[in-house]
This record gives sequence, structure tokens and C-alpha cells, in this order.
Amino acid sequence: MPENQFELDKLRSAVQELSVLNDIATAVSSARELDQVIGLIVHECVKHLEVEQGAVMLLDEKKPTDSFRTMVRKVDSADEVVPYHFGLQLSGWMLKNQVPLMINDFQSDTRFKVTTREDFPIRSLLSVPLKLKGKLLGVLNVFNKKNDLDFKLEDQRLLAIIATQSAQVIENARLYEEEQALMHFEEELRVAHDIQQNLLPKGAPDFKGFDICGRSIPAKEVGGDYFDLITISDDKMAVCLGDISGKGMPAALLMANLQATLRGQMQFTLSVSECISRSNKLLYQSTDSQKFATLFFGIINRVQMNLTYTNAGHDPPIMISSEGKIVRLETGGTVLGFMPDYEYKEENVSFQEGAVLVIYSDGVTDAQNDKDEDFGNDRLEEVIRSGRAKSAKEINAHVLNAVQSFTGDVPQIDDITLVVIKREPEDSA
Amino acid sequence: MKIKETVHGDIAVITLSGKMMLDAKSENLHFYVKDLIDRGYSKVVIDMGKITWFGSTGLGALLASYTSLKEVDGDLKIARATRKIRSVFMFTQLIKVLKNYDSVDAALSSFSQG
Repeated sequence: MPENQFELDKLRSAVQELSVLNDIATAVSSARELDQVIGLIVHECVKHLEVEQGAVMLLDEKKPTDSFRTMVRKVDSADEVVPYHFGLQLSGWMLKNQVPLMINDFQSDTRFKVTTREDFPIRSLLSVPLKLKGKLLGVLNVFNKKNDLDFKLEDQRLLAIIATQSAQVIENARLYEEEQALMHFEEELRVAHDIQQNLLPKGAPDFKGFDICGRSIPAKEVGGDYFDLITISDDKMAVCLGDISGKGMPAALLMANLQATLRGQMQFTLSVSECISRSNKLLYQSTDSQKFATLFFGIINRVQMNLTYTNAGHDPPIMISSEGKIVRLETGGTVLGFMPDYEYKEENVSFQEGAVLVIYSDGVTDAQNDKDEDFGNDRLEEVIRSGRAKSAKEINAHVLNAVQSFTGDVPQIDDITLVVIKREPEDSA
Repeated sequence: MKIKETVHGDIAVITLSGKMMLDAKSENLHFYVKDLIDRGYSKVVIDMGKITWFGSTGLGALLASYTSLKEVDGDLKIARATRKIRSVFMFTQLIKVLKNYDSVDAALSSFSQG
């Protein structure tokens, strides 16, 4: 009879286990989102193992530098049951040992140091690894068996079986989540790309006596480069070229913001330094403090045949005379959006006949070949010098071709933007 | 780009190597620094001696990290910036903000000199 009873108990517990697994399988089959899947698993564990709380901790692969980092995806309780440092210790232990862990008298267990600072209501715990194809995905934990009971080996066995069944489901949900995030990211890039393209000038303005050509080639769909050509009057035209920190939607929005700010400020003042100082302040106030832009901003005056400019931390543009003498336009100040009360300086340079102004983004000079060498400033100056007699459009192509043949098959890392403005020689005008 | 971390007392030293650029995972360095702040570090040295590519994206990440650290009354020091990086600090006029030291040790001891 006792033997029969024993068999009967075994059978009963096997049926019970199967029913738990069936419950879980049924529940999670309707869920696709990771949090939902994990929530259901935790909920079923809490119910069937008769515990106070449960939690799934997943190893976070997005932090490549720290494989011990975990994120607690779901705790079946309003209270935070897994304090940060304990979570790290527990997942660290699991990463090393990868076997179930059962502790019935937690407070006197010496393996885990929990500071008294942390409110820690745990008496007992049972943790099992979530493993898939030998790889640890995370840890499934339950805490505090109800009615002050101890965890038993049957509990451990059941939790281990649940973990085995759950690992694949969790991984599927995680892959689904990643796929969704990627799709979302791509959609965002597409929209950002449209925004950016609409901000760029469609063609060169007609500014008598000057030949103008601007081009921007974004790396990876959308970048942070921006340029603008604005006709102020028959005699004045503004040009700007900037590089905004970040990529994607935040950069595109900041770009739109910067363009609107600059154009707005130009209604009030045509002093370039004042325009930039004010824009800097506005940009600082309207964006979070971690967004910046470098910007070159200048106004060409075709009566005085000069250029007044300010350079806010941008790669210094090149002004090359028809004889081939190069001047770098460095006057200005630091990057925009970083220090709110910065006073930018401006400089006035003459724009002589046949001279060429080349404004570029660092994507040009930082382009690398397969030996990790930069295209660099020397090559850029040399290419511009050799091509200075050509038209603006030809000079633009000449530089871009030189960069292209230098980099060869190496993919473009950063946006490449180039604005070429040439004062036409009198005889050709 | 790879990120390695060591701790010297209450100062965290981040060693970067490779190309400092942005990808889909985005602004890796700034995320890392914000995580350091969450973990209670406000003094950070970034060792840039092994950076092989540095553009405006890298500068953006440094400035964002600097700003986040300043917000918690901390500071950021740079160690072993390459010639190229120093030239970017120069023309952006950020050389006074992003202070560069010839070695990690020099950057570390600069914290105690205030």
C-alpha cells in the first residue's frame, strides 16, 4: 500500500507538472510581446509553485562591455523584489555555475552580500537558468514559498522544466522584439531622410557673378549634415553648412530647428556673428543639453565683393585664390548649443575674381581607405588647387571623385557634404 | 569601437579603441557614461590613445558625456588624445573644456589637483 501510494503520488505530481506546462504553453501561445510572455510565465510560476513573488532576469546583450548586466523584465509584485546589486550578484553566480540554486534560509547564506540599505524581503529563493542551445539567456526566479514552507526538490524540478520550456518562447519573443525595433528604426530613418532632403536647397540660387554648387551624400540613409543657400537680396546671399550631432530622427529635427532659427534670426539682423550668437542661445534653450552642431555661416556681398563669416566649431572652409593661395576660414567660436552665452566673432575676407570658396563637412577629410588612412586636409587642398579653374559643379565632382577613388570599396562612414562657390572671372561673366 | 572600464578609487577610466562612430545602436559612449553615473561615478577619464577614427560624431558623444557628468557635479578628463583628435578640439575651441593629458595617470592625478 505505501508503495502504491508512492506511485500514486508520483503519478499525481507528474499530471500536475504536465498541467502546469500545458497552462503555460496555452497562455504564452497567444502572446508575442516579450514583456507579455515573461509576465505570463512569471504569473504561472507564482501560481503553481505557491510563492509570493517571481521574476525573470534577462542578460542584456546590448551592453557588450558587461555581460553580467541584467534587466529584470517582470516581477509579479508591486514591490521591487530584486534590488540592482543583488540582481547582478545572482546573475553573475548563474553565469558562472549555470545550475539551479535553492536557498531556504536566505539571510544566513554567505554567497550573496546584500547591504542592509536595501530593503530586502527575501526569506527563500529558487533560481534556475534559462538556457537555450547551451547559451544562458537569463534566470527564472521565485521567492518566498508561501506559508513559511521550504522549497523542495520537486519545486526545483518543476521550475527547471518550466525554464526549459520557456527559454525558446522567450528567445522567440526577444527576436520578435528586436525585429520590431529594427523595423521601427528603419521607418524612422526613412521619415528622417525625407525631412532632411526637404531641408536641403533644391538647386543653386541665381546669384549674379557667382557659380554655386552644393551636394550632400548622407551615410546610411540619413545623417547630421546640413547646408543652406539663402538669397537675401540681389546683392547678398547667405551660405551655411553644418554638422549636427547624432543621426536619424533627432538629428533631422534638430536640423529643421536650426534652419528655422537661422532663417528667423536673419529677419532681425544681418550681422553674422550676432545671428549665430542668438541662434546658439535659442538652440541651447530649445534642445536637450546633449545636442550640438558645428556650423559655418557666411554672407556674400556682391557689391563689396566680400564674405563676412563666422565659424562655430566647423572644419575651417578653404578660400583659394585664382593663383592657388589658400586661406582657412577659422574665425568664430565653439560649437552651437553647448554654451548659451557665447559671443561669436566674425571676419570679413575679400572674394576675389576667380577665387573659390569650398565649405565641407568632416566626412570629406575623414574618409578612410582600406589602410585606415584619412583622406585628410593635405589631399583636399591639393585636389582643390588642381581643380580650381573648373566650374563649381566640376570642382565639386572633382573633389568627390578624388575621395571616392581614395576610399575605393571602403564603405562611407560619415556624411559627405560639399558646397563650392566660385566668383566667376569677369571675362566669362 | 570597443569600450573597456577600470576603476581607480572613485574615478572610472574608460579605454576606447577602434573607430568612434555611430551605428544603429547609437551613442554607445554616452550611454556608457550615463550608466557610470547611475552606478555612482561622477569622475571619468576617457583614454583615447587607441582611437583610429574620430569625427564629429565622436565629438558629439564626448560633449554629451561631458554635459551629463557636469550635471551631477562631476568632470570628464581626456587622456592620450591623438593628433587628429587634438586638432578637432582646437578648431572647435573645446580644448579648454575637454582637457587632454599625456597619460591616464596624469589625467587621474588632475582630479586631486582640483
